[in-house]
Amino acid sequence: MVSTYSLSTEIIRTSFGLIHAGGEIDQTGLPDLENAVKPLLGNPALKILVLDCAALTFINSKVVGYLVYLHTTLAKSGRKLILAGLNETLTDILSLVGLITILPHYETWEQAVENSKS
Amino acid sequence: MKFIRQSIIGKALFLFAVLMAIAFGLGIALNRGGVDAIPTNFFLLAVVSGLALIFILFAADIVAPLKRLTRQVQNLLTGKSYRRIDPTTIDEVGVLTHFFNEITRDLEKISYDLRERRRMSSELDIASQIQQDVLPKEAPATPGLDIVAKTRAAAEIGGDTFDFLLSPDGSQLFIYVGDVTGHGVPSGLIMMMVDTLVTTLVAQGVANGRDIIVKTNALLTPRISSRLFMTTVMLRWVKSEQKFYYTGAGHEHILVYRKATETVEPIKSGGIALGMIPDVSKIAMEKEIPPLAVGDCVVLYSDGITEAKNQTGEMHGLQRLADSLKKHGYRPTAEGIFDSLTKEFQGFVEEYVQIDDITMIVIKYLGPDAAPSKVKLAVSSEEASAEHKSKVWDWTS
Repeated sequence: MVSTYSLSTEIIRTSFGLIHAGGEIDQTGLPDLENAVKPLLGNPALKILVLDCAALTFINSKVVGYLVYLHTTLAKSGRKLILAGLNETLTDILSLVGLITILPHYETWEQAVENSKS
Repeated sequence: MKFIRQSIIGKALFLFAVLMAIAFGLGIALNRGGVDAIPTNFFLLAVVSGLALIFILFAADIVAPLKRLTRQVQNLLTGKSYRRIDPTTIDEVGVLTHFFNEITRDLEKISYDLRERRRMSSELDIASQIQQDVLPKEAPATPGLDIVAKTRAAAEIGGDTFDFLLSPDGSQLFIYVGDVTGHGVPSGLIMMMVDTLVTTLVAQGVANGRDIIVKTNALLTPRISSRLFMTTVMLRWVKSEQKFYYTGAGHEHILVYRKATETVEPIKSGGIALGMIPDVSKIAMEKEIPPLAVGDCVVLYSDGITEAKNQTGEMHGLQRLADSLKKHGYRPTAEGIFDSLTKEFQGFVEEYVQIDDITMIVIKYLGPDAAPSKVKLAVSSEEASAEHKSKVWDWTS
């Protein structure tokens, strides 16, 4: 089974890194997600990374592990990871492992940008 | 000149041309010196000397390097020690010598890789054995509880674990199932760390699931990569109360089958996975599973069960597992329920190539007066052989 997914990134207001993810991402799509996020992670001007999950339907535990890594890596340099547009399945997955309690999340990425001070 | 250096025929033609030039030059010189004829013997001597010169030059430039190369090729083919040869020419012999050097270099690399793979495979076998030794081979038989537990790793080393630990005073039985992100060596090492920590904490008398989870997490988090974490759910069976308490650490639901109503209650395990944040003392909570009646059943599992996909990419899911339990929870033994759940899982995934570790524990409550029954355990791992992959998935390797 090949997971189908889409990924794109953009920079908003010079300090927000926005990652749009769609489809199902598991261990096969994780390297692409890492490659997409890497330039944003390496850009110190980006104080907040927003993962727009509006079109994301599923992630597995490896991707959850990567989100934890992103969160801790960003937190170490005073930066932040925010999730946006989580559907019911993703909310269930993230709340199951307890990640929802430590990661801020908004209904849309626009709300995440509006409500977050970089 | 390049043609002459790159080709044996070129060299032969060149030597022939040189010889002809010498003969021609000698003829002109003799003619100018007034010599009209030379004796036959002198002519023959000159011809033989010329051929000898060609032979010596040919032997030095072609035959000797070819012989050196042939000797080393024979050594290679017969398994004797060989050495690489510095090519002295750029003709066909030089090309063959270069080819021989490259081939032997590649052969040595392949041979090294094979040795390395064999060594790693042997080390993986040892690690796999150590891990299987850590997983329980037997569990304390507890009056009232009939238990079956099986785990099957997706690779030589797995990230799933379970154990049954009796408190030092024998009044409580701790049952837990854990699942480290992914599978393979990194997950296996985390799993071993957690098993060791939990076993130590229980042996030291830590008396409830919450404290075990909080202490394990505090010891584990600073020692592992931030990408790895372990979800777990810890059950604590209090013999005197005949009750289960549970503490979740971001694990899958606990399924409880109620015989009286023939329903299944999925209980969210709650909490946060081990290794995510350094302090979970404000999050981890121990809660009670509403009292079990005789014939009720508790099922713990890892996400290898719920996230397994069938041939069309559909996931098995919690609902399907809960429906299976609802259908088979009435069976009188844990083994009967376990086998029925397995059969339904097999029917769904069919020829599933396992990509994640799979663990399931079925606990049937038989009442306080029931005789203790032996806990049935099984530990196995996926075989990477194509032969196995054509079979319907099962717990055995």
